[in-house]
Amino acid sequence: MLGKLMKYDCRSMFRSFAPLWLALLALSVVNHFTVDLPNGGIGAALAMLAYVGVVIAVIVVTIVLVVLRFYHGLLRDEGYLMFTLPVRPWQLVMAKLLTALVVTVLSIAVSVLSLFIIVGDLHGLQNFIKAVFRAIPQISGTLYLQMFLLVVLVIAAILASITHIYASLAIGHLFHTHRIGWAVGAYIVTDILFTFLLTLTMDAGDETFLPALLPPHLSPAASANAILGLMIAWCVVMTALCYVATERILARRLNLQ
Amino acid sequence: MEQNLIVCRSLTKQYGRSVALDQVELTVGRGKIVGLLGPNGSGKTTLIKLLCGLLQPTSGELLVDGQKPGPYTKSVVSYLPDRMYFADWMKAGDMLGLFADFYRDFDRKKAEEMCRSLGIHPSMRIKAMSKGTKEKLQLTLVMSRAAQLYLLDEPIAGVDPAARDFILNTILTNYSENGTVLISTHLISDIERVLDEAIFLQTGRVVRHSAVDDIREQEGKSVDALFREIFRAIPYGGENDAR
Repeated sequence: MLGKLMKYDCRSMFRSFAPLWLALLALSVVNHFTVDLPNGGIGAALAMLAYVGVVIAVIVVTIVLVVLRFYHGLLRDEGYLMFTLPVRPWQLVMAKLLTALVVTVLSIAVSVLSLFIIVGDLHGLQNFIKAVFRAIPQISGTLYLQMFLLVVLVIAAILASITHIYASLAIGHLFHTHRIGWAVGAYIVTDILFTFLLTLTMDAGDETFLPALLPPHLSPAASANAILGLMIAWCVVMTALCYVATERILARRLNLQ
Repeated sequence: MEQNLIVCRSLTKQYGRSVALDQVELTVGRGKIVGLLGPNGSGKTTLIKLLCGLLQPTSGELLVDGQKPGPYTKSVVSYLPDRMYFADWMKAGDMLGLFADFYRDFDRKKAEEMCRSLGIHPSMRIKAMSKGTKEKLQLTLVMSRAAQLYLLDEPIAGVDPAARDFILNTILTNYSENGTVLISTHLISDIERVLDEAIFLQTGRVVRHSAVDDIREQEGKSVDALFREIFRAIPYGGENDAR
């Protein structure tokens, strides 16, 4: 059931994103050639402007669509269809969350790829990839771990951000009027709360609290990994809290109007 | 299979301080067409949403085919809301695919034939359809399921008389044999001819639940006349019999 829900959510999202991603890649190809032109002048400037414009558009559209797909898809008229399907509320929320994660990660990947296209050339790219593969066996254990933890942190942070938005929309749904207003308020309040708690656990005044709990004999690299681990744990906790709050509100207090 | 399809025991739904449904006791059997009748604000839509699982009761019990509303009851209940619930970007064919994906009792061939007879092509964008066509598509999807319970919330409100006949005939010819159809409406005279039973709802309470034949025999009046009698309101300035 979750897979089927994701199928429809992905189709809905990709319809909006595919043109943007394609535009981004196309513009990066254009810029690849125009950026080096000696007498490029206006042409090169316009091409770069268009590229930056589309990058900004991708970022904005990602955030806006993540919010709108959840809001319109579950809390407005489409909710009458979704919440009468023979599925549980947690599956509806999970499908939206995973789809939003996929789309966000793909947007980042396409943006990074577009930069490579502008900056690199085929030969240079080949050499770069060869160099990376040559370097990999020489990377120490801690560095491997650090790279891996960074990737996990990025994903965890994206999940935390998305579920934070969902929970705020769900809290807004608890009210009868001005639901969007309440949702925005809830987002701001919970954001302040989470930031406060994070600062408290990570850095209390002169002493760093949680990091101080780490064993003292760790190498700098290992402590860095431990801090990354802590940040990941924090994101996971925040995601879990927001996800459960969203699911409980939609399961017990749904009131579509 | 439970003998009674719908069982409500002391069912209450409150929104804050206002009571939408008040200690409702109700049982509805199988294989019937039942009218849920009452003026605006009487609790019809609230009861239907509770049966669909779109709302949770404040107190009391509600069972559909012996189970509390959940994924099982949603798989045997086919719901037609009083609004359009399509995702804007979908085509008619996408909706057929969605229903086929999620509902095991969905008869895709039948739905496709019905669409064809309505002039709805699978590649038509829902956004581009007229309001009437969207409503017909929605009705087609709902009635192409072999559900145990069909919940139709105001299916003929805001619809022209010819379309009303079409909708009523579609309902009559397409619901599954042992299934029950619960139609909520306040347009009684149009729907009276198809009803087996009538439930009268007033300010969240069931004031009457009888077979339509009994109403005609015992009271000697139509369901429409009985409705006007039960829900009579004296206008400001006194009565002036409009009939």
